[in-house]
Amino acid sequence: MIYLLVAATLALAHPLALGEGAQSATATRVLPNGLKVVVRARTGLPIVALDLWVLAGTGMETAGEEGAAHFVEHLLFRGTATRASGESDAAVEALGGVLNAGTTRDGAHVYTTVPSSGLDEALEVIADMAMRPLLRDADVDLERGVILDEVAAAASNPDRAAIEGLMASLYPGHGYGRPLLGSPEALRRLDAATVRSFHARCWSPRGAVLVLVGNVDAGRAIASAERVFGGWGPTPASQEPPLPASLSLNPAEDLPASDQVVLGWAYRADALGGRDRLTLDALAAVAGAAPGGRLRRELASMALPGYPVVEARQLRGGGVLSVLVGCDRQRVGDVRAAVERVMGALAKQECSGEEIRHAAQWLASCALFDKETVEGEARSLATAELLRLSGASSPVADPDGGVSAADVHALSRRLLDAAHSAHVVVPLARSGRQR
Amino acid sequence: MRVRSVFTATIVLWALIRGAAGAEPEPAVVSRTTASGLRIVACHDPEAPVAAIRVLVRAGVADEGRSPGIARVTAWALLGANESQSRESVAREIDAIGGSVTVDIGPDYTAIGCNTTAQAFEHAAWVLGLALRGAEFDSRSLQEARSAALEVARRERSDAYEAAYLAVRQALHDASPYRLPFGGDPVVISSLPRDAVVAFHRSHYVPANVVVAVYGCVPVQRCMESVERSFGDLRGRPAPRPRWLPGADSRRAYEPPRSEIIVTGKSALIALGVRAPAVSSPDYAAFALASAILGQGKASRLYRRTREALGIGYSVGALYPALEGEGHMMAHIEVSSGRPPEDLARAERVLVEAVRSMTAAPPSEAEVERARRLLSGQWLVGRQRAAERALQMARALFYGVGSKMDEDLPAALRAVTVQDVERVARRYLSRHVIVVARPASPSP
Repeated sequence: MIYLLVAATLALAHPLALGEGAQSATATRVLPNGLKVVVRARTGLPIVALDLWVLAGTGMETAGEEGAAHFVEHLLFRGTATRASGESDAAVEALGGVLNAGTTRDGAHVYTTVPSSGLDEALEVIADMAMRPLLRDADVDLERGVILDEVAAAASNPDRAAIEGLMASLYPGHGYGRPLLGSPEALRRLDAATVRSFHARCWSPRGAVLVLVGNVDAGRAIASAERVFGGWGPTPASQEPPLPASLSLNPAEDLPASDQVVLGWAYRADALGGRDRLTLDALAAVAGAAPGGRLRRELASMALPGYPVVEARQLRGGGVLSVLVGCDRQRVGDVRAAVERVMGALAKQECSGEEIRHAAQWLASCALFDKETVEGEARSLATAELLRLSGASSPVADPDGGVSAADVHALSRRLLDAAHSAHVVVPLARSGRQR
Repeated sequence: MRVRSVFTATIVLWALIRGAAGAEPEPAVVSRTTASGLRIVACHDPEAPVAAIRVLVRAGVADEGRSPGIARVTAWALLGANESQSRESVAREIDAIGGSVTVDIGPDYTAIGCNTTAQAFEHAAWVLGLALRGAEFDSRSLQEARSAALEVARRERSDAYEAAYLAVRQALHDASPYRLPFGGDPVVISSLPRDAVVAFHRSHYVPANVVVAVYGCVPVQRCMESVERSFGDLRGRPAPRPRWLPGADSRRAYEPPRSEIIVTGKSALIALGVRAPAVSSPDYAAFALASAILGQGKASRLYRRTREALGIGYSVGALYPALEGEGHMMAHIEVSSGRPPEDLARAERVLVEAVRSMTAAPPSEAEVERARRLLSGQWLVGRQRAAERALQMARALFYGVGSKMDEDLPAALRAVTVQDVERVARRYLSRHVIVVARPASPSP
């Protein structure tokens, strides 16, 4: 999912990569407090997506704050200086929208899509939540149970468990390596003071972006955003914790005692520029994210049911290429050999021009499908801002300087080795919901 | 391909959302029935960046008879080898579409879909048409379809939500096919012979059973020609004998009124089910509002009484699927199985109280208005996606409810009064079943 998002993000940065569709125009303004407002006005249905992102993901958590990023996201709904618990939801639902929030490794966001006529009111609700949440002791105690219920529900997803295991190995001791929801132990330890401190430090307009996409007048929308968010006082810029210098070694693996397992591989790349990010996307597509990719073909030839999940995970601190394959316990050896064979070949030799063209087509399709909805386009634009990708580089497979097979090969050589990789095996329970 | 086309073209003007800023006229929907009985509906939206094809086949769970799971195995094996291509060639053709192909099996129909671009549209229609009319059901494709279907069938019995939903349906419906496991029977699936699949395909994948809908960036004329060319010679065998339509459950009391089932995972789920009106019922819109007041959105009664007030349950909500016959609504709370038993008991009590409150304390005008705006808003948001639009067009034709089903939904919701909601709440929410699904041992 993140892969598709970022693929679309990157493609959206290039007008040539877009197909025909709703007409749109973009306006941007950075408010004095640092909040960047991006408005993309579209014709079409009378609706607008609002998506406020702040640099308050798990990557900003320091020692002792594990789980705080996600906890804050929940508490935003439990009342503000001007709205009682639940009133923010009720206000947006009365407009016809559903208010939601999410936490990623880099950021946290509050978002909704409402009829265009409800823009101002929805902006006020979201601003209120971001700027003036109550974060009371009693609410922390009450919400802790809800979050632990969420953690229990998420535990049924083997892919999620595999990715979290891989990220823990790639980023030991760093927020990127922590579970997005927080571990049960950490959540039980977390107190209200820590949660409030995290909010005060990270929920700041500096580095934040508000994206509005839909059937609105761009000038009026920016004026509304300025009126509502202008009073958000900036806090001193919070430092992003440095990435760990090295990966943690994979412990010797015991196969879980289940009939089926998920095998996972991940490769870490630091300090990626705009072109590197496109190259990472292209590499993932060639490896198997795109239909017809090498791993898909390889595993299909082995008569394995299903297909591999290959993703390029874009982070402010770089990127991660991950591969997940579910299989019967007896096939673990075959699958491991196949994945290592395919990834090894990518590092050894350039892929073909045809593979690059296919990857480019697929990335362009992803961008088109993402652009279909106002919320999809809003999320793509916000992610690009968060990743500092504004005005990023050339499209994949552009003959005038786009990502080439040589670029993909160079990144593969840099990335696909033991020093940058992690490996996990997790049980695939019968109740696994997402595979 | 020769297609005799003395067809009636119906133009339906899509409802406008009154009072919305910047609203533009909706594109026209054109439908046509071919001589063989295939129904096609198309809508050109020049602002859509993509195109979506949805094919509905009256080959759902309700049509499986004594072979629960056969609809899924048949549908999932369609994209293997066909009369003119190997399975490897078909896989390459699907790759070339540039979008995605999906196959879903529901109680009333099998839905096959493809999201694609304008450039690849003809190709996509051709791939789907070839699969529908010429699938060979080669042994490897069948084996893969059986394995995948087996996983779904097993999950329906082990996943807390799915197992609870099945148990609720079986307690509510005594004769309706909605009591059947939507995932099929693992024993049947694992031994399903090719002959049975071929026979099911031959008898159900016939023109009179199929609706093809296209929505998006492709002009209507191009859609019609392409679909007729690709699907037009779907063999014109007679449709199977009409099935017994759901809607006549006779049992007065739900059985059992409360049950507990063991599932895997780390969550427990408490579910409450009631029978609910069919999509064509005059009560449909009023009950949709009652369901939203009870359990849709974070300002619903259920959410506020559980997650908001008690801090219990991450996933809290109400499901009211639109079904051809008298269907059901299921409200649920999902909690960690590691919670103390008294929390589970409390969650169950609050769930029952929330449903009872719908009759004891009838919804206020403000609650009805919130639900009305929420459903209308979400309806509008859903119309952004070509796939959703295509599916709605296909369902309207499939169910024969015309514009009542989707285009007029906002108007239908506006026409519902507080008294209507109170009436349907009294009629449908006065008795219920409870299912508690939990792991054998609580999570730590």
